[in-house]
Amino acid sequence: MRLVLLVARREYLTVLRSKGFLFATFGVPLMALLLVTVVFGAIDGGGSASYTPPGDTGYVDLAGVISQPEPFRPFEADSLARAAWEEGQLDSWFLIPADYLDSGSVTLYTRLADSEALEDSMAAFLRENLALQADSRLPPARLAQPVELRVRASGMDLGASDAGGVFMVQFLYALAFFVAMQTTSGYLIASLVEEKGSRVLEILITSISPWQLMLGKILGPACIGLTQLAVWLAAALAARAPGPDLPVNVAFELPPDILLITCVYFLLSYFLNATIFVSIGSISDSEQESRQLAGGLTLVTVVPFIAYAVLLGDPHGTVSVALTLFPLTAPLTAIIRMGMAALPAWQLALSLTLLALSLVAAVPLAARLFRWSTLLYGVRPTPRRLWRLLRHPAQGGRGA
Amino acid sequence: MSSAEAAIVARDISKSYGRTRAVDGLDFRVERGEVFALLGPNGSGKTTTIRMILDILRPDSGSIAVLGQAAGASIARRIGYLPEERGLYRNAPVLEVMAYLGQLKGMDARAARSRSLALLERLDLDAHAGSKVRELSKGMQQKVQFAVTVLHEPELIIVDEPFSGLDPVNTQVLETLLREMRARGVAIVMSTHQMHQVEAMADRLLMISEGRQKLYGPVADIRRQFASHALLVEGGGDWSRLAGVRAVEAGDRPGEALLQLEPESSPDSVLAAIAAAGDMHIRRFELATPGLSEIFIRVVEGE
Repeated sequence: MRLVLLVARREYLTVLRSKGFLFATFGVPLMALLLVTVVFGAIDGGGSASYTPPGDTGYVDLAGVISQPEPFRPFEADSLARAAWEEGQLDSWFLIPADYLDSGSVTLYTRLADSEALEDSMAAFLRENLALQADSRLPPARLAQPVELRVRASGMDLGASDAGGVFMVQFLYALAFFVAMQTTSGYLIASLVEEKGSRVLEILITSISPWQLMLGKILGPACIGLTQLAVWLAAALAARAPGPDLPVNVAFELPPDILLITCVYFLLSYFLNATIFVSIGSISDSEQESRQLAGGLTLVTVVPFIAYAVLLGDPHGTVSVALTLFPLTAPLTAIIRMGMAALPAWQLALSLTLLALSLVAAVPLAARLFRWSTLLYGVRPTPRRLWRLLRHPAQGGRGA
Repeated sequence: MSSAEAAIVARDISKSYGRTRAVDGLDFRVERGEVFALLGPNGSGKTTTIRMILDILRPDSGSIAVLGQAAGASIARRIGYLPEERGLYRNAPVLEVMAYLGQLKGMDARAARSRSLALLERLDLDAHAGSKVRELSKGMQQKVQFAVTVLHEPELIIVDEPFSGLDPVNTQVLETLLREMRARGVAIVMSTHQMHQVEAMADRLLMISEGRQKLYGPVADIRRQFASHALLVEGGGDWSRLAGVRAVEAGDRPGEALLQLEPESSPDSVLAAIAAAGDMHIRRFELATPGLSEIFIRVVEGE
């Protein structure tokens, strides 16, 4: 284990001192903050847009702040609105509680897969009505931020969440994962290619078994991933109070369960991808070839973002479920679906299990490829050779 | 001498890659405190043999014990290996690379650094401890590679073309170091194509070709084994008149002649004839033995 940690430490320190790591780790939060500001700033700028809601939407006003109900349907009591919603007369309804002016809290019940347009309409609707009131009790901040929204959707398995916060998790996860993978793949591949090319590998395997060496090589970048994750989480926590006046408070009120699941997904998939990168580096002849293959892998991992519209349109459909269960696309898909409150617990459990099992299967496979690459310099790894190797590994020494 | 005392004992080891038999029934032993040359043409099975000694590969059949231990035992820390092609991190500082590789061999960080600095000083590279490896010349890199090989004071070192890229001065420095280690009881396995280095340093050799053992034993014995029926003399006179001399060829140096003897004559009888002749004199004589280069070619071409 000492040797594994020694290799991991060297890999870790080498990456830590690289300019690429510093840029990726500290530049990404800055870029993310900039993007969020721009994106939500644009939403804020569109505050005067029409607030026609998607679908039939009702509301219950216990705070007495609504004087112009159109285009929403008013209900006297939440029991009446709930009954109408449950009978299918309404697609959504929201409750404006008695302490709304102080808390800003509004609870939305919806069966819409995408409630973003509805939330915009509600914000505009409330702002308009608040402006008409000219109430001396009106806190100045309320007009700027009319809604602290809580969404409760039908079929929800994971409980209430902050819609803006969860979107931020999706967005930041995709960004963080993409950057982390790029950093990892870049470093792992460059490191492997250098060691193969300069024959350092030949020296290393006289001191340490290929298995230990590979484990150290995966652990090092994994610690880099953890470091990046810690920096980014710290940055996210530091950015809890967003700068611009936003129509919907998108501050990071992340439910702990989603945060925990996101971290578990990040680590499992990080290890899995790092393991695959080692395999790619082992079978490739050049850094260019390795990077092409690694680029393909990274592209697969972000397919859920490319298929975002499909996931939004049919979060319980076959594509959504398949992408949730497929280990390479599972993390992002699961997080997107959690954001839509459309991830049943059994799918979450199965998805994590499959991801973990893939990792368990990938590590010895990668070790075999890695070991093979340490022994056979210059031998082109044709598909036939690889197949033969995987079926009948050559008898070897330490770490075979 | 028992197997436990020998540095390497290989018994009938064979190794195949698919249908290709890379090593076929090698049988040899390397003693502590000797320089053992492993010779053979490219693709003859030397690298596979070295990898079996290093326990990177296991023989398909036969057995190999290194430093008294069977394969599988943890002996990596007691072996130093210098590969034919340089294996150093090019973008890292020399001292950092050495300390890291030393630690992988079981040294603690402080010992690895101090021993690295001592070796760099011995090799006249102490001024380059902080330089990146890629900034060094090829010869300097070779010396660093050698330093890494012996950093952890191994009991057995395996060096593949150790003098590659070195000028005569640095070649001598490394030869001196190797001889010092041999004197301390370190076993040295040297694989090289530079036959004059083998003649200068090796005690015994193993020559393989197509995976099979061709020659094995003390270097001097093998050279005698290939000695032609000839006498090399330095002196003056008409050598062709001598009884028992079939032909006379010029030697490599002025005044030197190679006397090819008749099958029924012996060196003793020819020397006696020279002494008896009044018009001939000799300053030096020796049995003509071929160099290892010639033996190598004869063995390989005799396949």
